[in-house]
Amino acid sequence: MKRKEGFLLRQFGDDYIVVAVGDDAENFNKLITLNGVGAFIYNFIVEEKSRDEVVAALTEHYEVERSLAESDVAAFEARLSAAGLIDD
Amino acid sequence: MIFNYKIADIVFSADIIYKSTYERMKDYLAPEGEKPEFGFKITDADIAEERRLSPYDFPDNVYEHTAVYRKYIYEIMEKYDAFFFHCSAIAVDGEAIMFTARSGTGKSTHRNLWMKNFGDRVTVINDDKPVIRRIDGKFYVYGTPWQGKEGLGCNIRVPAKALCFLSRAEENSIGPIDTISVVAKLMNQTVRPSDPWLMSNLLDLLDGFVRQVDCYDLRVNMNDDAAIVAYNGIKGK
Repeated sequence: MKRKEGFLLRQFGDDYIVVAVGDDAENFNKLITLNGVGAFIYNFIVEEKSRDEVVAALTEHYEVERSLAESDVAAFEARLSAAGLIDD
Repeated sequence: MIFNYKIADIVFSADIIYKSTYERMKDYLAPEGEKPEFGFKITDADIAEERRLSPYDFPDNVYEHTAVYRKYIYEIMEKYDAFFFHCSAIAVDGEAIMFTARSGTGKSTHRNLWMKNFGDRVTVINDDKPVIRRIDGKFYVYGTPWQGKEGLGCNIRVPAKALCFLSRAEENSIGPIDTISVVAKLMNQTVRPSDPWLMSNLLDLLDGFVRQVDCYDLRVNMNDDAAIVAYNGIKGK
């Protein structure tokens, strides 16, 4: 997973918002809101970690089953991809 | 011709073409001797751009007025702790209450109910495009010459008290709204800078705004007591 350049992640209370900046801003009408888990995953994507690394971190940090973490990450990736936040 | 204006306590010069623009903005002429902090000139290209962005087909002089707005708002968002979003802002007993909604929801109708119920206690600050500024850590709502269809508003500054996200319902109710929804909605109604620093400043500003200003989910019908329910929710806090 590779995050596209030009997005800002910002915390508001318990939640987060991701907005486009730079050249992407013109084409990026939506903004994405994330909860804590979403932001946790997103930060790993920012660091260009592999899907396995994200799943491992999630399993450890949130003490969830690997299968659940895998399906969560896959669903989250699909959402980010649909929103144009990441390149596959 | 070049005129100096003072809007939201910011003095600037605008070189405009049409007398109608002068007339629309004359309540905001800067006092003699106050120096502009920036300036711009409206060109035919600016007017053509406004026309391109508009769903209507107005005469050029109407588009000059919105062109001045666009240039002004970009400048102040860049240089000051200022932003805007579409709303109707009223002052009630000296505190600003803002109503925002999708167009067609009935912002003006609801604002009218406040005027009807509370009479002289209510002043319309601006019915369409007020400017919000943070000065010494406090948020203020300012009147501007861009006042919407009914042309209501005046040249005043009022401390920000509450922001209501208005929607229509059978029964009147007012309740809390979560911060992230407020920020997302406001971001969708303002100019989003593409420059990362400016965007970061805007997010900082919104963060301060949602901490200081009480935000509500306000559901109303068009009966008189809609304003009473809203008032009690806001002032009873």
